[in-house]
Amino acid sequence: MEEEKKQISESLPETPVSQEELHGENLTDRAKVLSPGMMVMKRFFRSKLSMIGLITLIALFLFAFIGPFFSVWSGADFDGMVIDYENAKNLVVSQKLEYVVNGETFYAFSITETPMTKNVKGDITWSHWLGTDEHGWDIFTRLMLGGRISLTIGFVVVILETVLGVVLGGLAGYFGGWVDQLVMRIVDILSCIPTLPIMLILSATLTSLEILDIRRLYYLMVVLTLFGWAGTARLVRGQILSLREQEFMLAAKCSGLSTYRKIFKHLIPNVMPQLIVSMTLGLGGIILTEATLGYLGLGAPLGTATWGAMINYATQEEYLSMYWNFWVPPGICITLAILAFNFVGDGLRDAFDPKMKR
Amino acid sequence: MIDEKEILLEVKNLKKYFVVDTTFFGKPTKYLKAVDDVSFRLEKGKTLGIVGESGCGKTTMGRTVLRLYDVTDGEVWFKGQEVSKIPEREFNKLRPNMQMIFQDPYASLSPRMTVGEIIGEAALEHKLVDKANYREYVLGVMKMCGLQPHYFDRYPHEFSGGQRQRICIARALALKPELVICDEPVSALDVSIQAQIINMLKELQKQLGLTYVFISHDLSVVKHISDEVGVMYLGSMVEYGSKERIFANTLHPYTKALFSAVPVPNPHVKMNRVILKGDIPSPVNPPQGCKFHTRCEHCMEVCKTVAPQYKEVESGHFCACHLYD
Amino acid sequence: MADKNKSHYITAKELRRIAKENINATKAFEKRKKRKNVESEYVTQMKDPANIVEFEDLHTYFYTDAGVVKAVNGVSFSIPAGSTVGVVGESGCGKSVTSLSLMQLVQGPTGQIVSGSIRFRTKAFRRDEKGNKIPVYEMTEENGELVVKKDAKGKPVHKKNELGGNLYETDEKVYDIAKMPTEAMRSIRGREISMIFQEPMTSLNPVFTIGNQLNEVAFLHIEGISKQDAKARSIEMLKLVGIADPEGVYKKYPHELSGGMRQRVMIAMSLLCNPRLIIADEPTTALDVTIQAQILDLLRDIKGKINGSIMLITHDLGVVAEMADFVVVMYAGKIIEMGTAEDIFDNPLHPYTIGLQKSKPTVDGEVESLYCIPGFVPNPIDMPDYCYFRDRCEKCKKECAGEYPRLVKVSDTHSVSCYLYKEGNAND
Repeated sequence: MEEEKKQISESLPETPVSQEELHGENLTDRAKVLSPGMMVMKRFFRSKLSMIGLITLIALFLFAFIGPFFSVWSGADFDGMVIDYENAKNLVVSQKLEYVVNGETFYAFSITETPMTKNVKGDITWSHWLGTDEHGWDIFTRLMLGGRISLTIGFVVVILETVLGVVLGGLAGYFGGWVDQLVMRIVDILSCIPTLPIMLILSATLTSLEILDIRRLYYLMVVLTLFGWAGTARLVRGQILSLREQEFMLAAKCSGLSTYRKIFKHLIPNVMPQLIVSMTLGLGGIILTEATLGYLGLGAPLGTATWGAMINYATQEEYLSMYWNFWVPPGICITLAILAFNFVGDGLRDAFDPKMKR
Repeated sequence: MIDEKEILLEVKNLKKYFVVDTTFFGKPTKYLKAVDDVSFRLEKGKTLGIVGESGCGKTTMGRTVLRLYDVTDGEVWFKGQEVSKIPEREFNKLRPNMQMIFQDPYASLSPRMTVGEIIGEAALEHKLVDKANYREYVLGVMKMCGLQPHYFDRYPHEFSGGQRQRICIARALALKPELVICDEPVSALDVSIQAQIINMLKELQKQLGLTYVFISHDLSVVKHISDEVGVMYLGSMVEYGSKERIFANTLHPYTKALFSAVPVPNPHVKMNRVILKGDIPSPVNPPQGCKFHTRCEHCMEVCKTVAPQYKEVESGHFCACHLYD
Repeated sequence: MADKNKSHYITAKELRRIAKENINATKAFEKRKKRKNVESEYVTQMKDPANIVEFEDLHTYFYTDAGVVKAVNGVSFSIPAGSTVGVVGESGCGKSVTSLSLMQLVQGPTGQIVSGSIRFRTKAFRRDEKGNKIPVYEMTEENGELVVKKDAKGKPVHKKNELGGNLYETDEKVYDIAKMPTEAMRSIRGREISMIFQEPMTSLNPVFTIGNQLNEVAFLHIEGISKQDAKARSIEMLKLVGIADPEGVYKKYPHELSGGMRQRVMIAMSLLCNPRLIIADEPTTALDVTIQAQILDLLRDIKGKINGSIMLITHDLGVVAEMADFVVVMYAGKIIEMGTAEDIFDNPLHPYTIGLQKSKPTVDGEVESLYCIPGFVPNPIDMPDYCYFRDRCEKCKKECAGEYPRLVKVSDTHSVSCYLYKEGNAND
């Protein structure tokens, strides 16, 4: 058999043989390629820092959103009050007395020791992993609940910011001319308004209007959004200006596509990677702003736990020096969250940028 | 005679100036004359080749004809209709009739759309096909351009340059155009792929009766595909005529130099080259008189001061040079 | 169809396997590059003393996420002293990677020279026990005795070489670049092999003047050269590459020059240290035809003036035909045909070479339809062991299903890798 085959091939050496006769496969299609999603994943996971960031983020999210379900304690008075009575020791109740002498007011306090009702400023024990605060609330539980609110604020604000920034930046970049001028001048004005004094004024206004409940947080989000979209708009405008000159946009113009399609089908998807990166990095920034405001006693209403509001304890001498368990844990959480968001953001930037080879 | 044939595209004294410098109040003070007074007419089913070096304005000319850039001055007649001044909205309805194939197959495909979307999108928008028949229609166009059906759902980055250029051609042809402006469609491709694309373009022209404006810096390619040839230098047409005339009887010194500069794949040919001295002048400050006089070996006194007239030297053979006054 | 789509992409499992293999493979190579003081390991002998570079069975792989890309897969050829060797091929055929391997500029850890050798004849510095270069000093006669001349500060005065730099004791040696550690490679790169890149726009630094950049190269590679000497040398080189106003260009910034001028400056830079080999990687691809003609003319002219060889990498057969003495045609990482320019252009043998030459339209010829090679250049991942050109070849035979054809010598200078030809028989 073998010899026969050899003979045939030798006797007909010059006859061209078609490809199908030899093999079914085609060399061009032989090699497999990476799908676009896989390519991004691969590059993202190559960096150890972004892995660490991602794991930290997942841990923080589980901690904040799932954790409270496993806690027996209440984080605040108004949600189904579970207060620790067993470990109660002593409570100093002060009674205030007021005297008026010669038009001047004097105060006096009568101090009584009564049997304890709440475990206030309790130590770290097996049942309270981080002790309790001055209201008797479990700090560990509050830390989890605070994470919920801080992270939610971050996400809501970033999404609102991005929507506003993409629409306005997209319009400015695509149409140019007076639209561009208008939007970009607004952006310029926004970036030279100092945020912090405005926030202080706003907080004072809200307090004087006696808005002290959860609505304060909504106002906080709105204001953060109004001040935050400018950066996104600038990014989107810049990207669109450079994409607009690309040949695929000329091709789209050449095909006579509608403006709507050109912006939302051709331009925005190409800005998406940069947007995701800026959103991730922005999240950290917003959590930090929330913390700053919380530290200054603005933002969250009384009793509501956010990481920022919890750090506010550090403004009082007594807590700063003696009760580190009140303000160090939220500080660590904020640092971790921001670091993690930045690591993930950097990782995503490298992953999305095909020019970055390493 | 000429009137009997249908003129599909006629360009009269087309000008495109880019403003490079303005006063503080936005009044332009300095122009880059990318296209400066170019005229030609093109019959249906024919191919016009435009040759020139980088910066000669050939790409700008192609894009200006399709109104990807605003026309500074001049007229563009398409199927007997003046189209350079009609409103954008009306011109958009004409766009499917005049398509473009771009030079860089990597930049001209949106990286986040699938091949099917890229090809079929505009046809759907212009209602050349309804949603029900969309897929078959696109697959039909893809087959015509030598693309396999299972490429439909893939992304451009998975393809090589040649296949990408086929996708670009399919995108243009999906709109059933009459005029296709090919802007250096093969210069970014490998030699063996170039031949495939050129043959395919020729084949498609025969099948669909297309009219091409073929812009290229490669003389041999232009010679192969064109019926008429125009040579551009610094924004102006310096020589124009039928392919046979231009290649048999080259008039302009620039065209001659361009011909002799092409390397020949034969080691025995001892080149007797006209090597041009110097570089192409900046189109912002083109030389006085004849724009080519700084590099011309036949430069005369008159060339330095008076710009030559673009006129018919033989019948159907135009040239702008003082040697033929 | 759905099935085909599915198999088109790499699965997560395969991806993990590839990543693991890549890390294991590249680790060893990276370690090898960092060795120290192992000169004995990479000193070899030339097979033919007339050559200055010999590639032998060179394999350069890229360990990518999608699999191992065998960019250069068993390439052997040599560059004789004083000649121009043209390497032709389409994009992705490995012609640039071959030259980068020679410069040890393949980007690690992804890209690695896996096996084979690149022998390069070099003027190696002689070293003392501490590994320092041994200088040659100016001698004077003092009291009838030869002693080292000293300058005012009592330091010995170096003898100068022809470039104005310090002279050191050197040996004519042959190094195997594929086995050299990165550190040792530095004294060869730029000094004895220099490179001209395709893109003259990006290979010059926009914030320094031309003179600055030329001088920097001089200071880097010519030890002990004085400022005046460096400037004089730079201007001399600018003059050599046909720049009419070298002093003027010396003071200019890259953006003030046109593409052709910048490429001339790049050539001047590559000539600065009198290299033995200039690698020109697509030197005219980014230029216009009229400027290309000028640059090619210049390169030919310069080769006559300097005592060196040129390795010209290009995809343009026309350029090769004009410039090269020897031609190497590559396809998908392998050499498919090589010989003198006459061999390749008068009597091309491999169907790919023939196809390439036929598929280019010419200015003088006239054909109705161009000849074209069907199909596409294959993606060089996971290549099978049969002729890579097989499914684009119109002369494909039954034998082609077998293993990859060896390179057969059809004449003294001409070799081809195809089953159509047998040893010593060019007209088969």
